[in-house]
Amino acid sequence: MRDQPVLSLRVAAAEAIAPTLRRVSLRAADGARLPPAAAGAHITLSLPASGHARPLKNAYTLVSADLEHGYTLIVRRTDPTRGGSQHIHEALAVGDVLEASVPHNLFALHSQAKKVLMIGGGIGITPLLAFIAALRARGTRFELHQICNSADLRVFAALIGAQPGEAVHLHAGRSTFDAAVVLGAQPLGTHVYSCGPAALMDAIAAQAAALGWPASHVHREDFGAAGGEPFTLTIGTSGARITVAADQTMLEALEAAGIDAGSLCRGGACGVCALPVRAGELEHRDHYLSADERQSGAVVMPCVSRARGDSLVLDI
Amino acid sequence: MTIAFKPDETFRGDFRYANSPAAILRFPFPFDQDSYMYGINMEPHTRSTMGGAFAAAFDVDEHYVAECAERAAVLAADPGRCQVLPHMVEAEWDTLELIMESLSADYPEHFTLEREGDDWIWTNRPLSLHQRFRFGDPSSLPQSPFEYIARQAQGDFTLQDQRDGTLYMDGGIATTQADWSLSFDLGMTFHEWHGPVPLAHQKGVFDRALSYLMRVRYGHPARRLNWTMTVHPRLDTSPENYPVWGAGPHHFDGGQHRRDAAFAGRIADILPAAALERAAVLHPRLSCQHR
Repeated sequence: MRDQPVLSLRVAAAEAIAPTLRRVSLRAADGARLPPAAAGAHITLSLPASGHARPLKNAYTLVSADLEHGYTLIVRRTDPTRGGSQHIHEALAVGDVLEASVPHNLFALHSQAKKVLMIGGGIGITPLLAFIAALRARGTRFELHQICNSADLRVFAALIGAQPGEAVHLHAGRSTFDAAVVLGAQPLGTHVYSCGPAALMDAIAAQAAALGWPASHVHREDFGAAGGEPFTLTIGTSGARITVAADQTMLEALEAAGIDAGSLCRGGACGVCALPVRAGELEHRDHYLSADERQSGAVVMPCVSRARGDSLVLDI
Repeated sequence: MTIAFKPDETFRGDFRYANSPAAILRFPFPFDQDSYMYGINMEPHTRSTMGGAFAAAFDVDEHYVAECAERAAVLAADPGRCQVLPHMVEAEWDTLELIMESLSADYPEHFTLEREGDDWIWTNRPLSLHQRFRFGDPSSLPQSPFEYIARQAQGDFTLQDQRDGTLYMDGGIATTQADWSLSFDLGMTFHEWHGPVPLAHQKGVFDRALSYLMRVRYGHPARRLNWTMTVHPRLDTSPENYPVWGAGPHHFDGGQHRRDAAFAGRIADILPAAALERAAVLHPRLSCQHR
């Protein structure tokens, strides 16, 4: 696939697999072959949302990505204030075309894992379904603990399709899952992957640390934090005000306003786009500034960093 | 854009090699400084719409046919110049897919990729290749998928596996290297294989470069211009062949020869030999771990 950050995807199939779960298959709108995606990858869909001027961008894990079925997602209907999944459940129809990012993977399987332990909570099962398929193909030993509502047990069991001899455990609620026992029983060389509510993933990480697991063997789902809260940028010399949207970098907002800040890597590594700051609190996300420079709050890398708060004044 | 290939060029022996004026004009420089030091000069691979070396994902120039023949000769003498660890087999197919899609889209008059599901037909007109194969089935190609396609591209490649917060060089092909050895570096981490580079570690260059590379995203390629100088247009300046190229009468062993004056009159000779690192950085995760 050539550099093409945005995909146009057509809904090829959509079906309810439970009252709150909808499975959606997406293919390239032009019929072309989709970019490959490793187990654990996600895409970001642009979804129309009532009451929002701009489409919402929601990240969804790919349950599978293959030539025959395209990209498959399973979406849980959640809090109606986040309109994205509401749209998928109520309005999305076969034939609809959606804009999506190319797949991105921040939750990839470790190629050298001797055993993979997977712990899922609720809809956190989605990347684990992709992992199971990959691990079966690879012949890597795995163990799965999936926690869910009792109402979802049968649906999840069907999605997993446990084969004879596989260590698959479904738990109706947290009470029958003991992280200390499960983590404590693993052989050396095991990598643990957790996906689900933050409290579950925090608990797994804390238990693994308490048992002396190396941090490199403990993984949790991550969609990345490219954007953040919107804020207002003020140009110190002119007083001009520029809005930095939630899904936009400060550098992009400056460029959109016709201010050429000068940049090279656009990834927080090279230091070329550094700008002086007059006022405002910073959230540094770069790999360039020294600890002292960060502390001073006098300089920022606008390609990745943001304001911690609703305004920032640049000394330019 | 039709390229007038120069298939009779050589990179050893009689060194029949030269750049046409057009090839020099499309070179991705000028050098904008008077002195150079290791730095973080990675940047998004923004396509040039004016032609030149930045117009394509993988650049093909007038030396393509001759460079592919040179690569074949090096591999015939030393098959160890291409090695891939077994867990990187998906990255091999990713590389093949990426290069075939890119070349056929960027140079449709020279390369064609036809696909019917996993049944693919690849046509490389400059090298007179027409290959039917089944994507995912290595027995349907004359070499491993990575070696097969890397033999049809200019510049060296490495396959890097992202794990443990770093990149491991778990595969590659190196026949045009500036004195580094794939056999030696295979399986090393990013900091290990850059270990011998002077000065740059202390400047934090590799820490920042690694952070950047680990965040390169699929569909968002990056590039880095890199150049070396050799007296002759020899592409195979490998440690394995050091006795062949390192000890000859044209060897520069530092000292006064490194002064600018020693090189000043040679710029025209040096430019053709400068090796552009073809910096289509394969997305580490997807290229290494897809499916």
